[in-house]
Amino acid sequence: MIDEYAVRQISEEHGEPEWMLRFRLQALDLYRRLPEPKWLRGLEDLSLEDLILYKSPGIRAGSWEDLPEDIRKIYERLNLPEYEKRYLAGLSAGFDSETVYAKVIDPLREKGVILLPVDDAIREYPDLVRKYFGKVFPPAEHRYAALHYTLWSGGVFIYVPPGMRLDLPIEAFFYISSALEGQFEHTIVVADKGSYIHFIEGCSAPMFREFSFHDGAVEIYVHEGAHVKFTTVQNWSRNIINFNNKRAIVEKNGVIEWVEGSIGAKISVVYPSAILRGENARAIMSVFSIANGQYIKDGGAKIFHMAPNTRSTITSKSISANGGINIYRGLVRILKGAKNAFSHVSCSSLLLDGHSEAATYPHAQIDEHSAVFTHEATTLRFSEDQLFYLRSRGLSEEEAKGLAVLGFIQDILRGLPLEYASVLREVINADFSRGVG
Amino acid sequence: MMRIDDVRKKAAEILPTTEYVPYADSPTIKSYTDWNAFESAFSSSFNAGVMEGASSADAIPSFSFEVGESRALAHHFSRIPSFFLADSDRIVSFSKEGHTAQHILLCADTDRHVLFEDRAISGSKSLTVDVFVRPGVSLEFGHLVQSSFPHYVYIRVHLGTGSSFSGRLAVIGKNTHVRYRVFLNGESSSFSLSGASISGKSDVVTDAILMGERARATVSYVLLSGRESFLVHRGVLRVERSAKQAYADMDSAFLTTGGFAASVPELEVLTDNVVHVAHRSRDLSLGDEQMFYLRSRGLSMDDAMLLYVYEVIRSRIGSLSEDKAVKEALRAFSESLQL
Repeated sequence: MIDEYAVRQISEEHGEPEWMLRFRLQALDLYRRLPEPKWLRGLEDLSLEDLILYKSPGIRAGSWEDLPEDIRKIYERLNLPEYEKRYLAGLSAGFDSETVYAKVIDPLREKGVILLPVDDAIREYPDLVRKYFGKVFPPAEHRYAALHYTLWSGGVFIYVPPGMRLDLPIEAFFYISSALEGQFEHTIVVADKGSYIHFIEGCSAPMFREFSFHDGAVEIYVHEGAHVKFTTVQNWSRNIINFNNKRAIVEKNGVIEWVEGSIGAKISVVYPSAILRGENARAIMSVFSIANGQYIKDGGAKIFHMAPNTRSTITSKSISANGGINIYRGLVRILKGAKNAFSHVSCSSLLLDGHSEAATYPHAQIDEHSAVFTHEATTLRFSEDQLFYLRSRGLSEEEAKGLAVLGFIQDILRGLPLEYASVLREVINADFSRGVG
Repeated sequence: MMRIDDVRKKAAEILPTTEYVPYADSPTIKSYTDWNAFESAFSSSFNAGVMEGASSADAIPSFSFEVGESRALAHHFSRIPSFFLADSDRIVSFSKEGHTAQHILLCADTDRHVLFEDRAISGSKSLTVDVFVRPGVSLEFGHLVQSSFPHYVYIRVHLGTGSSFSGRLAVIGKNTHVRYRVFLNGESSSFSLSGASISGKSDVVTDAILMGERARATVSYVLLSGRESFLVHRGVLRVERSAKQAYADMDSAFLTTGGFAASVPELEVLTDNVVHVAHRSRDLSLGDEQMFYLRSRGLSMDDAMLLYVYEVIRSRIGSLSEDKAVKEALRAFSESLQL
């Protein structure tokens, strides 16, 4: 039941300060008052009241060995401890409603890099967290944002001090362990002046008979001259309804580079957005989405140009196969005063058969006469000639389709760390070799 | 036959429970049209306005509108004074003081070239037009929309096998909502529309639904948004599963001098068997190199800009650019370019 009692219980469980409880209760009020979004497809049957709203594994480990064996084995199967050793500067692991593990390498921690579960960060750095929490993506945005802030639990807080450039990425991985579960993790990334961080977000869940619901949020604050690269590879199982509220605020000379990849989930609704608030701020958004089977992928990107000389590019690639539906929903808003702003949006949809669908809804709202804006979109098909050519080289139809998909999104894969791109290639190949996903 | 009394009755019944159609595809955008202004306009007394080139009728043989599709339509049909049957190649429609509501049926049984002047300069206006183009027939349609008051225009075009509709549209004025919804039912049917909105406040929607095999739809629209302007162009190209080998293309462009312009070219594709489906949107600002080229030919900066704007418009709206009101709007826009 989503009510004040449930909210107070979650807050008490985390030992939260009074301001956070008030924040939750205000969000609950908004959730009750805001209408169900009319722009969504496929959520008609979602019954939130049936969900387990909070499920804690009851542990927060300082090392992998401290985790219960069953949980540790899940992460080992996903290769996370190995990745942490070889490729990462830090890692956090979410399990159901809580973060069970979060660690940054010692040299970075000693230099002031913070990587903590959000509830720990609230206790240890209350003023710092309060400065950013709910400020980038406010709860009043829409009903599911309000729901997130009502029930949030888990997630990580990352702070990179001024001038600090992290050579290796930090990863957060989220796992849902059972059906009819709601996961509402909250991630905050703060890159202070002149710093650099590459943050990777991954997620997984086993296949259940009934659905689970993910309604997370990511808030990124890019201070002056800082650069944040944020990569998501969403590979939920096919009965997760994935909703995510993601936004960055970018100050003067700052850069947000966003790679949003959507492979799994039954329904996925994610539009990473960037508010370019300072002069010369930049946003580079790359979105790719695969709907292989009767799944709905509703994604895109949104950019708000609020200052002079701001620049943005959005590249979206979607692949629909075996009855899959891909929807691109985007917005470029250039406000008056954002002189010489530049934005380019490019959307390509690849349809692999006649049962699948692709839709593109790009909005361009230009209020500044010196701005330059361009948009292009095309829908492509995988032709019989291409298929014949590949099959004549000994590839099966599924392999040929997998290859076509990889070729189609090659320019986005190029921006991923080598190890992740290679895993992603395998996932995509596997997805198409089994036919209907 | 559809009798006007039946339409009025149905619309009046449905009006209390009908809402204005919200912009339902985005968490960020609620609506591009100020429906409050229309709600006030619809509270005025209704009249049939001035109509030339079409004769009044109490019943018409074809009627494709769903009166409950939106509150604007329900208002419009609930008190519409008369139907009109287009019987000339030049149709002139003016509003009168109060609110003018008109519905026109235009059937193209042979190749025709129709010029339609659609003005709301003495009072608010709502206008619906049903256009049926018979198989194998071509209709060229020039449509000039001029508004000083809230002005609602909804045109539905139905294209049979091998038929074509080639339209040019110019929109100037205040608080104007223009909606084209074109159904390419027939095999090898063809729709093309090129147009422009010039300053003021308008929301232009150009939707094409491709259903017939080898159907072809192309839309090219430009927004010239002068100071204090609020111009929107949006439209869906929807390719149904039955539209094998379809061709659909939308080109939306804008040039602003301090006003607001929004471009929303949308694609919905339900089949992989298409020849071409694409859209693009861009701003048309003159680049430094283009300006240098023009100036090196002896043109002043102002003349170069004027020449450029007139050519951009002329290529889209053709002879409609010779209309006095259009010329005046273009002149005002060009002046804002020079500041």
